[in-house]
Amino acid sequence: MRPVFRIVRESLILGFAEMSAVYTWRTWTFGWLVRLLCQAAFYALLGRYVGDETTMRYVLVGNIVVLACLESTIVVISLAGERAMGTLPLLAITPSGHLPVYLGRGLQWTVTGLASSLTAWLVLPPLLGVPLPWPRAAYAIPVIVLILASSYGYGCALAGVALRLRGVEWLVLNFAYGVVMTFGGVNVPVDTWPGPLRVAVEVLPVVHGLQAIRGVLDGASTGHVMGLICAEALVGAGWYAVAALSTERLVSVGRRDGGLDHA
Amino acid sequence: MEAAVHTCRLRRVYAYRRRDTVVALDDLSLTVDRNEIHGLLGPNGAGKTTLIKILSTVLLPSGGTARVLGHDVVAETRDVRSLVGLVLGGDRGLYDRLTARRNLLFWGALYKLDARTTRARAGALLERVGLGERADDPVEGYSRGMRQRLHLARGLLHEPRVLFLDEPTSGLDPAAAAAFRRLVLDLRAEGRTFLLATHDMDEATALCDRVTLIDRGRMLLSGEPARAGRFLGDRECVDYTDPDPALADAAAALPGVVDVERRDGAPGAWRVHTADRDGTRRVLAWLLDRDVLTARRGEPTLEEVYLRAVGDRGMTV
Ligand SMILES: Nc1ncnc2c1ncn2[C@@H]1O[C@H](COP(=O)(O)OP(=O)(O)OP(=O)(O)O)[C@@H](O)[C@H]1O
Ligand SMILES: [Mg+2]
Repeated sequence: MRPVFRIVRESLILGFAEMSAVYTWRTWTFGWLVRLLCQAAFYALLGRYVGDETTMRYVLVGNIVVLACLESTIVVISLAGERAMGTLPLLAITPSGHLPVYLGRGLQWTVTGLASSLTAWLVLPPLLGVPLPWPRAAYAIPVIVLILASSYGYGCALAGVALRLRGVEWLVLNFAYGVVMTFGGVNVPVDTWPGPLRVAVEVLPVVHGLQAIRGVLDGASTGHVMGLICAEALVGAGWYAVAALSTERLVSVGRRDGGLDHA
Repeated sequence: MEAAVHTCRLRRVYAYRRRDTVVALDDLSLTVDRNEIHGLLGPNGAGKTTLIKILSTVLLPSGGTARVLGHDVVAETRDVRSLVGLVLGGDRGLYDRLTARRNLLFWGALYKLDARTTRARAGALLERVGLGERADDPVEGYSRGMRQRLHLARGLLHEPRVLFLDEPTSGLDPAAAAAFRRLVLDLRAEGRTFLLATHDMDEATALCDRVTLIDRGRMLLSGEPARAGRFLGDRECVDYTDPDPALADAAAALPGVVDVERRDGAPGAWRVHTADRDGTRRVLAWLLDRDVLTARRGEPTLEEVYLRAVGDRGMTV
């Protein structure tokens, strides 16, 4: 097996072992997953209350897709744990360096993120009476996977900030997710924002991917959808680059000030 | 041939609370030969951990140079990393939710060992550090000594040529500490070099080829543990055992005798400090004449040397 795959494998084992300290599959399903489904349903119903069927579907789709981002940005917490555990100096001096672990330590959240957003995708629309146009709706699934990936990169990049500043991981996580949830076109279309804000949200994950999914559901042209998918991928790649830079800095600053193993 | 470790005027200054600074290493020059077991002694805050961190590339020096097997720790970080193993010990640095074996498999992947090698080495090392039976229990349930053993196994996993161990036996029970010493000696026989920080003078005496005593980042002395006293220009002395305090009083009056003291530990044990070799010879002959056959020339123990060198500062750091 290639070294990278082994690291990913071991990180996933570690990730799920840590997760199992918080959840059993039952508490995850009936606690966490149900909570996520309720959240999406709540916004959708709010959409129905203030608007119509179309508004409701708009909001529901947005809130289901954004679950992928909600879960994968939890990587911020997993990585902050690495500092608490005092493993950063040991990771930094392995021949693989800290980067693979840094990018691998929250992978379990992409797996659960996929599970919860897919479940929501299948269950919520019929339940709330706004069925999706199947089989077209299936094309959304690979886009959701892409959004998981780009949001994970976004989470990793912000984890670098959380690791440097210490003790702010929950703040960073909520900020990260909150910004996407509020400004990412989840409940309100991005083009209703004033100019500068509209430009700024272009760099957020989810934004383009979600538009692509909406395009798929509305039967937009393949070219249009592909363009948006590429934009999402590009944004994701950008965040991975930021993540790589921020870990590099984390370690170089840590080697200089001796703070790498501080809790 | 390059020494295993060589530092030249190595300096490390920490900044803390914005303005203040601490000099943790102050122009420290030290050489550890290949295949040597070198002990690093010194009071709390002396700079031992700082030195180990710099040598294992966790920390950058503020000045001077440090080389490991000829590779500069700043300019050739990569080469150094492939050669060294680091055991920081303590309660942190392990993945509590994983079993000991899983911890090792995780680090094996990071050290780019192939799966089969990792599994085989992990199994063998866990046996070697005595965790064989508990290898598949989560680390969160481990005692302090068990964690310490796992730290050791982790540090050895990639078979580094130079090992930096920070207080490796703290928290180990006596049997485990003895097993640890055997393990270190075995590994040395394989050609590895050890630099180990310790507060255990008996361990340093038993295990180390040489020791270096540092204080406030400066070297106080460096040499063989049994001869450490000579480096301090320590006074000569004669040890003997006899229940009669009158004999001690008489000995104190001999020419060439500086002082006579009762030794801790054994009842009736005395130490006669002499001014020079002649004094020692005279005291030995005088004691033999009085049929005190336990008399022998004494060497100060490493602990005595340590306390004298560092001074009795009690709990202040
Ligand atoms: N990250 C840091 N920031 C600021 N000061 C530090 C830092 N690490 C160590 N120091 C200071 O540097 C000095 C040397 O510390 P070091 O940990 O190297 O001592 P030590 O010899 O290992 O002590 P001990 O025997 O207690 O482990 C101490 O005064 C300590 O307070
Ligand atoms: Mg220390």
